[in-house]
Parts: sequence; structure tokens; C-alpha cells
Amino acid sequence: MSKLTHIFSSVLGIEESKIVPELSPQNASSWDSINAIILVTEIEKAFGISFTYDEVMGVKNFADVIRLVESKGGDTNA
Amino acid sequence: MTSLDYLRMANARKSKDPASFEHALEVNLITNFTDEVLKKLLIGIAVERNIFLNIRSVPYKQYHLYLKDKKSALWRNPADIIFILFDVNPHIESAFYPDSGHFAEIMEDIKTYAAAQKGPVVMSTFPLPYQNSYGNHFKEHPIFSFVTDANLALHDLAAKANNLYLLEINRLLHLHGETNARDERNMHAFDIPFSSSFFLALSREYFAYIQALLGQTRKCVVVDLDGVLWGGIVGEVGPMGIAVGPEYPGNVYQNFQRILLELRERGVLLAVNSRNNLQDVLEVFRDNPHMILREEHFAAIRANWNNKAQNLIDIAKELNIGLDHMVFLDDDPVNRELVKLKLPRVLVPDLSVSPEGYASQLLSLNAFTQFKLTEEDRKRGQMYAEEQKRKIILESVETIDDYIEQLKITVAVDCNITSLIPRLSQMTLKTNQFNITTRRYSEKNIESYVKEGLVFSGTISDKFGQYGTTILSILRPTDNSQHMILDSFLMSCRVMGRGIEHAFFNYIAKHLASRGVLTLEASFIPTEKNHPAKDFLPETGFRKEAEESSKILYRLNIPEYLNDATIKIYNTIVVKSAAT
Repeated sequence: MSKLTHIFSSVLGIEESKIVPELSPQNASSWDSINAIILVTEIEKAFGISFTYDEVMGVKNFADVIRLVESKGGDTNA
Repeated sequence: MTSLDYLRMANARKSKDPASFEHALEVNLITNFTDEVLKKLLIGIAVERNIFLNIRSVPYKQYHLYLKDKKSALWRNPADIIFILFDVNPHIESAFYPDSGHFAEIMEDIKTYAAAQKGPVVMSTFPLPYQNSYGNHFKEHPIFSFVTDANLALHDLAAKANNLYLLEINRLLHLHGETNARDERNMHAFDIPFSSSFFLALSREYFAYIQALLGQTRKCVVVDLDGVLWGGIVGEVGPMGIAVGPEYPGNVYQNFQRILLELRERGVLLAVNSRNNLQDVLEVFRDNPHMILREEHFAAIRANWNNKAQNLIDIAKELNIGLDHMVFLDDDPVNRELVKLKLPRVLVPDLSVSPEGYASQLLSLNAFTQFKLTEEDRKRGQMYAEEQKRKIILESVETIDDYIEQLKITVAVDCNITSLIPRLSQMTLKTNQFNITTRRYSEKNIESYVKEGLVFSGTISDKFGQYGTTILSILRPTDNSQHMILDSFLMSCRVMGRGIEHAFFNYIAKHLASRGVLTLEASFIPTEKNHPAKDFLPETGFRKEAEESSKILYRLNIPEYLNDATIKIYNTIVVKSAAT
């Protein structure tokens, strides 16, 4: 289980096994606008990185989040 | 626990039935920003403590409409507690600043709303913006003066309203650091003006008020000694060899003792739970000149070789408080784990820090939050200490008579004093145990007895302190001037068991005899609780006249009573007229 999966699971209230690359606001009802902000804040805190507004808004699914974190030098396997 | 842990707990709650929690509360939350994060964290913190919160917040930026509209959800749904927080900051404009008209209007709305609420309204003060463009001259920035003035106005409002309490957000901001508390991207992009770590601190503060509402505020700090109040082991280095004093590291312990003493001064009881010989411990408290805390500061002392969990149970019993009112401080992780395991309701903070960190560990618990500090709180430590000294005497004497003699009790008797009427009425309403008739009287009722009959009351003290006005007797006249009725005779439980009732009654009987009253009629009306008063009349020489279903009637011949050498009157108690 990775740090990123743990954050998604905690914030969205979804089992860790169900946090898959295809997970998105369309197929996870708890991924609403408020939880999207909470996700970003928690990821920033956990990885010591920060996102711009455009980056935040550009996220369409969990795979995008992994790419974004890695582009900032975050280790998504941690 | 991190904010992520609490978010997880808040999510997990969805599958649970509110009725499965120990408490369920309705909360109204009123803010001028996006408050979802605050709401979720507060829900999660409450879940951890087995409390279900139904938090009703107002739609974004509609607080002013909801406060005004008596048909709004805020007005229609009574809440157990209401939290209000309006943020003002120099980064973004708000309705509150620069136009101060809005504030004046909102103040009126809050006043009206708070007055109509049954539950407490906890309103935050406005955050002071230290970080503003004026730099070192921050106080001259108009927003800083606006906030300062607004907070003064809030204090005035809270002082006048009886259920409006101020949460000093600037204390929290100061502890947290203003730059750590703000999230500038979220503030501008989503109108979430604070960081999640600050929201967590704020939710903890809110939750402390919820605990205060539920009577879960901690009332007693129980301390281990070696390694907590002083450095070293007293059993090994002796009462004078321990580390406590003006030099490091002794000063660390002295300063921690000062913090504990301050807690005591605000009404938190202190107690000792230590594996040591009692004699060593008492010697430290009595003879070590560097100790700040002394024996009299502790409401209970357990220095023995018993298990610490058992000692905590004994202390709770002795002080008549619940385990959920106690905080236990011990530097030994084994003892901490033992207590956590056996007594999960006791709060056991992690003291695996150096002694310099004890105070902040203790104070960061938010365990002592109260809506208000009262005069009674400030006196509490003193009253328990007096009781402690009485217990020591009680354990050392052979007979109860010796005990009474050593206490040097004085009863100052008042008769028909109108200024005492509120207290006397309160006594009839609150006294259940030693009360022969349990008749409840309003101030107006007592006033009429003062006019027509004789109302005697006693203000009791002993060599350790004051008990206040705690014994009362009401006599009604009859058509026959030589005959009166003992309508009420009652005494607070805190002065029971000292023979005071007999000494007080003897004073009254002499007074009646001097007025030519020869007989007294009385009745005992049994209730579920007044068993302690059952024998008072027969013991005093009253003869049973008749027994009815709801009461037993008695009669006393006063001259016979005064001449009867077999009746105990406790001559060692000084009973005198309060006027002299």
C-alpha cells in the first residue's frame, strides 16, 4: 500500500484495494469538489510538494495524480 | 492522530447508526468561508471519543440571511451547541472589512440569535492580522484596528449575554504561527482561508467545548513523583537529594510544579499516585525547601506499593469524581500502558519527552476547557485540602468524640435574618439526606416564616476552614404561645457526622425555653433519601405520638429535654449567636 493510496482511501472513504488508476470523480461519488481540494492539500503535505491551481484542475483520475506527483519528484511507491 | 486519520474516521462513520454512539449531539456551525474541512475534522475527532455530531452548517456566504431569518434552518433546529467563526484577513476583501457597517449589523443578529438559543453559543474572536503591509507598524494598519475594536465589542457582548462564550482564536493562531495557519492558495481559489493543520487545532478546541458541555472536562491531574515532580528517585537519594531547585535540571521540575499549581488555582484538583514510601514523600513535601508544591496542594495522596490503576480508582472514589475526569502523568511507559489498558477512561498523555516538555504536553491536551471560570473553581483546591486534613485527624483518633473535639467546630447561629433568605431557600431545595420533612421552600415562603415564626440557621467553621451556612431549622407558632411546631430541620451532607445537629438543636431549645415555649411538635416524613435524619428526633428525646402512613409524629417536652443528662449535646462544639 502506498502513501498515495492511503490518502485517497482515507479522504474518499474507499477501500485501498479499490484505489485504481481509473478511479475518477465520475466513478467515485465521494470524489466531489471539496474532497478534491482535501486530496490535494493532503498530498502536498505528505510529499512536501505544491501544485498550481491549473494542475489541480487538470486532474481527471488517479493515474493523473500519480503522474503529477512524480513530475514534482514525489516517490509514489513510498 | 493526523488530519488524515480523522478524515478516515469521519468517512467510516457513514455506515454506523447514530444511536450506537455514547452521545449524539446537534451542532450548528456558522462561518463566512468554505467550512467543509472543519466540519469533517470535527466529526472525525468526535467519532474517536464515541460521540456522534450532526453538524448543520449554513450554505456558503449565507450566514447573514440565515441569522436574520427566523424560518431558516438555524432558527428552526435547536442545537446543543453553536459555533460561530468569521474570518477577516488582509489578503482578501470581505463583507466585514473595510466597511464596518456589516459588523455592527451582524453583532445585533448574533445578540438576537444567541438570546433565543438554549445551547451555548461559542463565538470566535476575529483573527488579528499581524502579517500586513505595514510591517513593524502593523498596529497602525486599519484592518488591525478594526479587528482590535471588533474583539472588544465582542467581549462586551459576551459579558452581557448569558450563553455567549468567546473562543480566543488569537491564542490558537499564536500557538500555531500565523504563516502556518494560513493556506494562501486555498484561501484565494476556494475560500478556504486556513491550513488543514490549523483546522485540526481549531476542531480540537471546538471539541473541548463539546466535552465541557457533556461534563467530560478533566477535573483532576494525578501525578507520579520520581521523574515527574522531581528528578531522581527519592527512595534512593533521599528527600534532600532529589533534583528540584533553582539550578538546571532542578528548575525544570520547579517550573513544571508552578504550572500544576496554576492549574490548581483555576480549579483543577491535584493528586499523587506514586510507588514510594509515604514517609519519604511527606518529607519531601514538608522539608525540601525547593518544592513549589506542598502537601496541602494535593486533594489526595497515594504513595504506596499498590498497583497504580488501583490507586487511581481509590483516588476517584475519595474525591468523588469519575475516572473520565482524571489525567494521569507518569514518566514510566509501563505504568502508562497499564493504566491505559485497565482504565481506558483516564487520560494518559505521552510523557516520553524530556521533562522540559511536560508542561506543553499537558497543556496541549485541551483537557480543562470550561465555558467560564467561577469563584467556586478558584476555591475548590482549598476546600478539598481542608477536607483532606480532617480525614487525617479522623484516621488518627480513637472515637468520634475525639474527632469532633479536635476539629474545634464553631456554629454561628442566626435567627430571622432576611439577608440569608436566598441561601436558606436554596438549602431547602437541595438538601435531601439530613432533612426530617424535605419541605421545599421558595424565598417568599422563607420570608413568611421569618415574619411569623423563628428561622434559625447556623454558619459552620472548624479549625481547617469554612463550611458556610449549612444547617437550618424552621419553627412555626401555634395559637398556644407555649407550643411550637418544628416545621423543618435540615443540614448539608458536608457537615454530617459531627454531632452538629445536636449542639445546634440544644441552642434552639434553650432559646425557646427562655421565651416560655414548653413543648415542640415535629414529624419525620420518610423519603428515599432521608434515612440519615431518621433517628434525629428520637435521639433528641422526642417521643413518638402517632404513626401515619406518610409520617411519624413526635413531641418534645423542652424543660425535660434540657434537664435530661443522658442526651448527648456535644459540649465541645461552640454554638454562639452570630451577632455577638
